[in-house]
Amino acid sequence: MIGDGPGGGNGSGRDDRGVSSAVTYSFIVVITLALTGGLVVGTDALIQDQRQQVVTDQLDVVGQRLVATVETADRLSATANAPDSLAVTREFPDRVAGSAYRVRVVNENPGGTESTVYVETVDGEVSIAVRVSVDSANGIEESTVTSGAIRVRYESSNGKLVVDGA
Amino acid sequence: MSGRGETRGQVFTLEGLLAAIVVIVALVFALQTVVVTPATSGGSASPVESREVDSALRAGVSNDQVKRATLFWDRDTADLAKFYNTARFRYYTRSSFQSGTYPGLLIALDDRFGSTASMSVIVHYHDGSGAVASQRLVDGGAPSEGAVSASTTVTLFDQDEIVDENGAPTGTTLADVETNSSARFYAPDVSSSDVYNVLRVEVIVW
Amino acid sequence: MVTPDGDRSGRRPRARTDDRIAGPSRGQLLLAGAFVLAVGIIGLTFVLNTSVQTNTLAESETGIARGGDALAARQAVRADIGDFLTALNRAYDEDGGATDPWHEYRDAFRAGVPPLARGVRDHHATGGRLVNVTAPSALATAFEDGFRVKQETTDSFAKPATRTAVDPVGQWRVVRDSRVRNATFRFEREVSTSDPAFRVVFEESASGDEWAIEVFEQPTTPGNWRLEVQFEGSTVDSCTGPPRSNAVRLDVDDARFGGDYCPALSRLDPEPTYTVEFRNGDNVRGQFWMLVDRQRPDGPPSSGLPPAVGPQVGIDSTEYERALYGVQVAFRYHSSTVDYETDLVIAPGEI
Repeated sequence: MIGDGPGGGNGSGRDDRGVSSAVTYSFIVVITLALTGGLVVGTDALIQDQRQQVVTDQLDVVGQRLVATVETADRLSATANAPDSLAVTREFPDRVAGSAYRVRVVNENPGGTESTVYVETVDGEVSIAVRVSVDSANGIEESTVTSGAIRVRYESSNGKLVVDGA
Repeated sequence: MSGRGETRGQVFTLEGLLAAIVVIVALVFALQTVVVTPATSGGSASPVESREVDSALRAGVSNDQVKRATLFWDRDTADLAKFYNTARFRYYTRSSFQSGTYPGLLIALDDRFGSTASMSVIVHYHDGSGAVASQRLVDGGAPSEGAVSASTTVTLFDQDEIVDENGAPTGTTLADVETNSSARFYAPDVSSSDVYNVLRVEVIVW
Repeated sequence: MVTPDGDRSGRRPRARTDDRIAGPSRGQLLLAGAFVLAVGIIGLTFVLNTSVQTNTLAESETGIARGGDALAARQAVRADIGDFLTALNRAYDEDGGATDPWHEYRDAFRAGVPPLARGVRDHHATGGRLVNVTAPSALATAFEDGFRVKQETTDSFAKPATRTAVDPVGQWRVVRDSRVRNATFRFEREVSTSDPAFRVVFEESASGDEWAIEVFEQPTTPGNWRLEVQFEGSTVDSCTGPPRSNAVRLDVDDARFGGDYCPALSRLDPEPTYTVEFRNGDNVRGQFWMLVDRQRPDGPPSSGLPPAVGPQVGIDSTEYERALYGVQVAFRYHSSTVDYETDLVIAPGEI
């Protein structure tokens, strides 16, 4: 009896501390799972955020470069006689950070001399807008182009600059 | 009992070691891929953008400075024909063109880039056999990695006159130079028409 | 005695259970966490890589790829052909003895364009570009004939026939319904500061609008030359020249008055074609030169004697000679990214 008491006391010495092995076990598993889960989720969120930033940066570069090309084509077309042929072709990446994208040219004024170039991902997540103004009298034609090789050319029938796929 | 303790300890150590190895391999892979990209090459980026050199050269074309610089040729000094006031060699090795009689183009370029960068100017011309040869105008040393260059073509005609030290036409045309045996110009007359030679002036800045 | 054994035997199974679950699991969880961290690092690397690729993408922009080089090549060809025009006009000057400049300079031009084109092509070929310049085969498109109208001896700008009369006529219509380039004036002095100032008037043929350059001496100190550009009678801009004791040189297209840049002149922009008229020409004395477009409505000129002065050609002057007004060349530029073919009309110094 007395032996059982202390033995029982020893056995429940851990119980006195209010912690049982099962609880310890579950604590360990739960905490570890929580930490690991948090790590996974956190990394995933970080990667997603970084990817978004990268897509924005790259679309911005595409937009700036396209606008520079349009402006150069505009200056090339500014001769006394209209050019017989004018085409500037640029290679742009097909996808940025895994997303396909699209280029849209929208006129801000009816003459087509002030326009905005929208570079946006196909799913509409990210959209970059760059303004461009041309001096040639007939302006730019509105168009939508998919990513890849993009060409800016002079259309002699109506005297406009056209952005289309090469 | 003790055997199992040892095995357990070994397993723990093994697993810890494996985890460490996995993380280290991932880190090494990450660092390796980041380092191997073209953008991080060449420690010295050029202090001047290629567009700046381009526009400076085009300004020189529009105000005739480029052509006058190619005609800034002294045929009269002793028996060595060279650009005016150059030293032993036939080209300038100065680092600065702020004072003295130099072609206007070099003074303008020096104004624009001289304080931050070095430059070389080379004139490429057609020699009699149809190949392209070079005549140095300015020797700024060996260009470093990030050097940018801009070129333009300029045509010399038989009726163009060599300019004197102050940049004024001397009245001696290139046609005269060609017929007069004692007079030499670095480029020959390559055509029987009014065209004398077609040059390419290249400006390298770094 | 039994108890300690019981305790020992009781503790061991419990300890074994605890260790079996918490011990090995700890190691495995550590390993799993390490795997996740590694995957995360590698994923971040891929993202970082693509962003560095963006940098490389942005930096690979070159002047040749963008098309800026095509602009530079076009400008260089324009400058060269313009210089050629000037050289030809000087070489086939009627004053210098040329008898049939309209044909002589044509032959010289057509002989000179191929070597020029060859030289330009060779230089550009090093950069993987094809640049070609050709003169059109049709003479009428290739050449714009003209006249050099001038007054080389210092004289008044009044109508020539009336200069010796008592009351010279100050209004002199020099050029009618044409275009003018390389217009240069040199004014020695103004006859009277109290009389109306001398004006060069460009009257647009289509609209009748008038652009004018008014040149006069300031009557009071400091007494410099003054220039005013006017449109339809109202002053657009003005600038001041050197002291009136010196002669002053006016370059209309170069926008130079007295050797200095005058922004007012760059705002002078009459629509071709126009009529050039001097008003109050009796109030200044000086010289002038200008190249006038022949504006031939009747096809290529025949060879031989110059045509009669007057309404047929639209020039009223005693000093004139045949010259080359402008040329047209076909310019081609091809690189890996740019295709460009156009006709360049070159008439340097056109107002």
